[in-house]
Amino acid sequence: MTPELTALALAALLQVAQLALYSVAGQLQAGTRAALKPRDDGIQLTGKPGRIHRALNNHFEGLILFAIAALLSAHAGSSAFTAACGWIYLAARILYVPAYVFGWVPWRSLIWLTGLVATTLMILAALL
Amino acid sequence: MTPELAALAATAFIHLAAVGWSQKCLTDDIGKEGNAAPRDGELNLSTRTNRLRRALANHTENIGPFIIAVVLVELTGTNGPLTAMAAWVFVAARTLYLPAYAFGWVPWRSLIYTVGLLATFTMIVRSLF
Repeated sequence: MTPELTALALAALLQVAQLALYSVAGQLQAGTRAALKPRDDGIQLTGKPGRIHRALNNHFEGLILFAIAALLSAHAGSSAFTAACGWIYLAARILYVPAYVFGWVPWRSLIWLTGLVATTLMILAALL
Repeated sequence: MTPELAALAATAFIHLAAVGWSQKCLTDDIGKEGNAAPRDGELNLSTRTNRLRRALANHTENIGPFIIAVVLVELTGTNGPLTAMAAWVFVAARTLYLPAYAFGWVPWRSLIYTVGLLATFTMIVRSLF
């Protein structure tokens, strides 16, 4: 397995961890009954659980792009540069969670941008 | 690189365009500080910004099946003119989807979306037979 694919697998596990965190925090705030119901009226989480939810949703966007980057890298051939990008992405996305929950401004945005740039560079490296 | 993988790379750049455009509109609405803040409470966003955020969410949803389609075609070695064409039809549809949402092209946005979805399923079905 290439380092980029290992980073992708770990990023997927991070997503599972974020989902578990969201589930626990959300149910603590809104109640388990609200979570089990069909959520017709929507559940508006506030405070830290709301931030955890938004961080989770943001990683869906980042992870799908990183999946493309990791697949293309695996196909085009891994290099030290693309491997470093993969690990930088993973580190950024791990840091993104506390950055959102604890309101690290403007670091959350910079951490987000770091992950996005690392992903973009991986894709460009696979194409060139 | 096969045409299908090249189309996958192109799709990543459409995603980046969607992120960039919706970020620009968001910053226009709530400023750099509002964007960097943890965004607690309701965000009061313009119609254009809300449309682009929905377009990005839809794009994220549709990339998933497309990645599956490309991986299946590659791993089964069913690449051919049909899958190459379908992959690039998907790219064209998803490119048009952004302005179609932002500028409210009705009913074209829905048709463009359907074309992208059908292209994806064409590839998946082709990989099975």
